[in-house]
Amino acid sequence: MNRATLFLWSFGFWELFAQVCGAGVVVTSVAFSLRCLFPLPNLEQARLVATEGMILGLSLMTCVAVLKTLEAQTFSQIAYLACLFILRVSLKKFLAWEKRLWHSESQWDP
Amino acid sequence: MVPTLALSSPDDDPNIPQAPLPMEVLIKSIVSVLITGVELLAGLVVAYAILEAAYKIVVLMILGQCTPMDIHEDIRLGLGKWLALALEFSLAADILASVAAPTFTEIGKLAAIAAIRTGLNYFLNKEIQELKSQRGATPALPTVGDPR
Repeated sequence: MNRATLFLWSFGFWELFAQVCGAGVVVTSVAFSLRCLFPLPNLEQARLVATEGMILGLSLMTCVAVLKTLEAQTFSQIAYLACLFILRVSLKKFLAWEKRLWHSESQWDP
Repeated sequence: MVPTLALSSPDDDPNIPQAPLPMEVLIKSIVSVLITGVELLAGLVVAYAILEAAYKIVVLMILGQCTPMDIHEDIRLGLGKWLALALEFSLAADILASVAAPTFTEIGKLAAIAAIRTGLNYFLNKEIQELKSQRGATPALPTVGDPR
């Protein structure tokens, strides 16, 4: 089995794949949110689009952090993953809360 | 290995080199470019917000349609909305940066910056909300190209 085939069978490949998908979703959402600024700027709509994309991207990246725990062998690696996991989950919680606020309050109606 | 994403299982063939794959390096380079692009966008949004606010101040002062305090409130609302958008973009850049952060130090820095930006975003949102509710109670002020 050559190295490329081994890589496809490893968790590393799928982790990388999910990371790239997450990053792609975040960048795409930022690009789409820019569309809301032209020709007339609708800032709330732009923020909502960006937030939704970030939540989805963070979900994918959180999956990566979970997947990486399967390979973690040392305390250092586990602590690193815990930090990454906490960071991503906290950001996701905050963004989801912000989105809920927009939906629940009429004065925040985008 | 988690930080480098290199293949390092003890069951691996010892003849297989353990250096990070070129694809990983390439992807991290692409992500770095994307981070720069998104941060640049955030910077442009802030620059536009400042220019727009300056333009509004000048035009409204020249027209003399309202008092300086009214102008102050109106412009703060517009500026706050643009800054909130810029902060969203900055948060997006932070999220992207977490893909290519292989050390504890970098993760720590990232977490601190993300916490600052999230806090700023939260308080900015509260301020915008308060200003909006205040404006809802009083008649609308004359505006120059006010975004929604």
